[in-house]
Amino acid sequence: MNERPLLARLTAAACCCISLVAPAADDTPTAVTPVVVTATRTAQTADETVAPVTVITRDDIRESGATTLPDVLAAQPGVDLSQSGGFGKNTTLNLRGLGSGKVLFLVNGMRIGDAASVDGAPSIQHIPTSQIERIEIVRGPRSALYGSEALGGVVNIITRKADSGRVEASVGYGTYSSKRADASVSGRSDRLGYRLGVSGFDTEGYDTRDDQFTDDDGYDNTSVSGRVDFAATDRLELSLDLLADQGTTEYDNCFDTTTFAGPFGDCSTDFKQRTLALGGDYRVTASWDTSLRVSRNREERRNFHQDAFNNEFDSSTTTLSWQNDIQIGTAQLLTLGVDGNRDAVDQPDNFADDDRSRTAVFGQWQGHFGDQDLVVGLRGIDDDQFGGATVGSVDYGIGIVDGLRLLASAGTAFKAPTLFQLYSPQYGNDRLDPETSKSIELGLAGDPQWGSWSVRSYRSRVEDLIDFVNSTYTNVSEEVEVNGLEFEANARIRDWDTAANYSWSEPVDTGTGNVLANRAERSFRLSMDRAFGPLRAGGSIEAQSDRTGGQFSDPVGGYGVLNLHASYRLGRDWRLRATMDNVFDKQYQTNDLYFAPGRTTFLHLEYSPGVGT
Amino acid sequence: MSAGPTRIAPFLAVSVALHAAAFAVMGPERLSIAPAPAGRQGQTISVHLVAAGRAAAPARPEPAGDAVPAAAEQSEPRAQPAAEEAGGSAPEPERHAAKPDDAQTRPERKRSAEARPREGRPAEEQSQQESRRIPAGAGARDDGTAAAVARDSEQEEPGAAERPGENEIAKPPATPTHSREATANAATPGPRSRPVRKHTAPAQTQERHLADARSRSAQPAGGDDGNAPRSVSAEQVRSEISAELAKHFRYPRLARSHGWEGRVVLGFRVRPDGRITDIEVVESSGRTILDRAAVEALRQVRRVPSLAEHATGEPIALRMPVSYRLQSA
Repeated sequence: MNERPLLARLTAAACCCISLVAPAADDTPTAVTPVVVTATRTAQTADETVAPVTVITRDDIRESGATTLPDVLAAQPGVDLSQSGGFGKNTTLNLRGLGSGKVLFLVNGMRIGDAASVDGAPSIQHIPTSQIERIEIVRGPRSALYGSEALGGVVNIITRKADSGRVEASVGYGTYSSKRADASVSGRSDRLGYRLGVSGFDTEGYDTRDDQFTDDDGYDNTSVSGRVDFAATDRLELSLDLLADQGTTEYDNCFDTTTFAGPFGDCSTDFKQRTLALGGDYRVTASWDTSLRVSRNREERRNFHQDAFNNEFDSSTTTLSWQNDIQIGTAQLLTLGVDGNRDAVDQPDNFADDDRSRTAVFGQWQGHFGDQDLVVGLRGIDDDQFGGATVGSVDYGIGIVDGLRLLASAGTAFKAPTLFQLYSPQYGNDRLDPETSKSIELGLAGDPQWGSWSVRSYRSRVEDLIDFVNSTYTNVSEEVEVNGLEFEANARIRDWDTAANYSWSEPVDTGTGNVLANRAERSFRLSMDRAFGPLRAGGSIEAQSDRTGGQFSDPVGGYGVLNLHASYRLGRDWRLRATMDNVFDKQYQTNDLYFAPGRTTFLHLEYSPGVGT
Repeated sequence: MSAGPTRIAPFLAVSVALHAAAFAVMGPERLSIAPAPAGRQGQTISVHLVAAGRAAAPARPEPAGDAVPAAAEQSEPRAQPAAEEAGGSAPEPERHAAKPDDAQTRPERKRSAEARPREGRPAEEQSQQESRRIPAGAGARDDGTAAAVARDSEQEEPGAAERPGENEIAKPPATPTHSREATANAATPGPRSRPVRKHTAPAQTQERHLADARSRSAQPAGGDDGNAPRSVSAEQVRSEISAELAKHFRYPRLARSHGWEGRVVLGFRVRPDGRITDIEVVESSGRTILDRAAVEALRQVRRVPSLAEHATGEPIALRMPVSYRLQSA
């Protein structure tokens, strides 16, 4: 659950430097010593200088020893996770108070989703952490380039890329008889790069639900990821990315959807996820880059009880995108493109309409002038069912005094109801309207000597929010207003990389005056990490306030947990890692009736030649 | 909370008094103010008391003017004596002079001792290392703004250069190169320079400094090098230009967020008065942003002050490769 403090990467991300390499044997007599300008990569999904972006790197994930994606995302700024138990159980990610369905999930910048699920969100709990290079979380509706559905924000998962000749492997064992192993091989020649990774995770789990069934609810996940890129010419690069996983997760208290028999105690879901993307990047001229990408994401879930088949949900999302980046001078970039996307539900096959497509044109202009930054994005959508809509966003940042910046932004978002919400024979409502939102945000960011900090406040108004009332989906009659505040600070304190964030978010149905169900309004996280020679050690504290109840759930209490981790380098190529999450074995819930894992200890042995971390 | 200011007031007063005293005793000329390179958001200003103070005064070199003519070849004969002189006479008093300030410099030296294993590595790798260490101190939170470090400063003054976690120490000064060098060298006790010289191409680095008359007094270890080569001055001019120019280059923000890297080769002329003219892209990086950023960076320089002091004769035509590279966080 821990993760390396943000400081290292934020300061790294925030700065860059120049060095002069050793005198080159340049043949011209008048050659001057070459200048090398270096910088760390910045977030790709949105402009870090104006938008709130959290970047979680591969090192952060590895350091934390996190085995599943929800462990990595928990208590990040603006993130409120609700999970029905640990290890692969159903997960809802609220970003700025709005649920998974209002968050745009991307893999390598391309949409993923599950049109057969209630809210259209993919099962993010199964995405294997070992295949992830970095995660970028963008808060607020800034989605001109990627899609209009980001009412709460965007989570972009970037998978691992080809690396020059490298073999890596690791094995781990821990509490609940959890076992994990992964291996990858990667190589690169002049024009060709490849990477193939496999990983497996298996746990007997624990009894996740507070009910009469007391069996352990296990989980297993086998995944593979691959990447091939080929520089066909100096200007053209082709790439292929694959991310696939499958496995089984067990749970309690399910009912047979045809006979309504139940509840049963040994329920399970066999899941399969696949994302395949093909891309071509072409540099037309020195100031014009064009890229064409097609991606297909498929999600399958088969539910069983007592080993008898119950039901099945299969869907796919296909996206085609053509994007052009046009450089204007050194400080302006214009992006123009079109994309199309189709959601289809294959199972269940009793939906009145089982596919939907939309096309969009989009543009974004980014300019940096002195101490001012401006990003303007616009997206025009044509949905084959809901017609046209236009969304946009403006982000502005200005340095007001040395080391202090003022940030302001506004944005709108649009989300059509999911096929499930519209056409599920039992629960659907085909008269639903799309959900729309308007958001504004104001913030201050500073970078004093000791590190960096930011405070942001925002307000979003969501119209026609879709809620499940009286066994069917309906648009909430009044607006839902979300007010929130986020505070982040990073510092290096006596060689400890320290990061803290506090988020407050209150989504209120203005009709009833109630906070939306199953939300924790406040969360806090503090993490500290330090290297002592070959040893690295650190820990984090995560805390959340009470969680609201709703029609189907009671409120649950808040919690605070301490997580610790340490790793020790054994020689050049090996590393031993130990993690202990929830050190005080706190019993808590992030969803009514479902227990989060107790104290979890894990031991990993990693082989990673040449990586001196 | 309001107690804060009152509580630090005495310390402030003491600090001011001490600085004033130091200023009075050592004289203003030995107090060099080293602002960090101008970032978008402005930077720290750090004040270096030149440790070499007393000894440096007599040995304080004449303006470097004649020692370093702009045209590399011309300078050779003249640069050499400068080097010898520096090595021969100056070092001893220098080392003693450094002592008063020892207390201040000790932590730095300790650091540099720790850093020593690094010095065994190839120069390029080290400069990589160095360049990575620098951000934490100076360029930090400068998003897109570069902290510039010349190669010589990296190799010569690992102790005085930025170290992570010591934010209060600002970058080497942007403009007065000589004061930086003097500061660095003064704060650099003789013994420490030796290991530095062991690693790749150290002699050149040393001699470039020696040739720079401004730092000769402060360069104790140089004299016994004895092999001040003929090409020293040419090399010095080249690296001095690079060192001065490097400070002005930044990684364009848009290129960073798009992962664009590349190498631009710039062609330009330096006139006898140090002015830079006729800037052109000789070899494109393939990205307009990078090409233009490089050209604009050079255009901002306009003048190479150190050359202006002593250049004579014809404009010199130069080529400078500028590589933009991204690293993972």
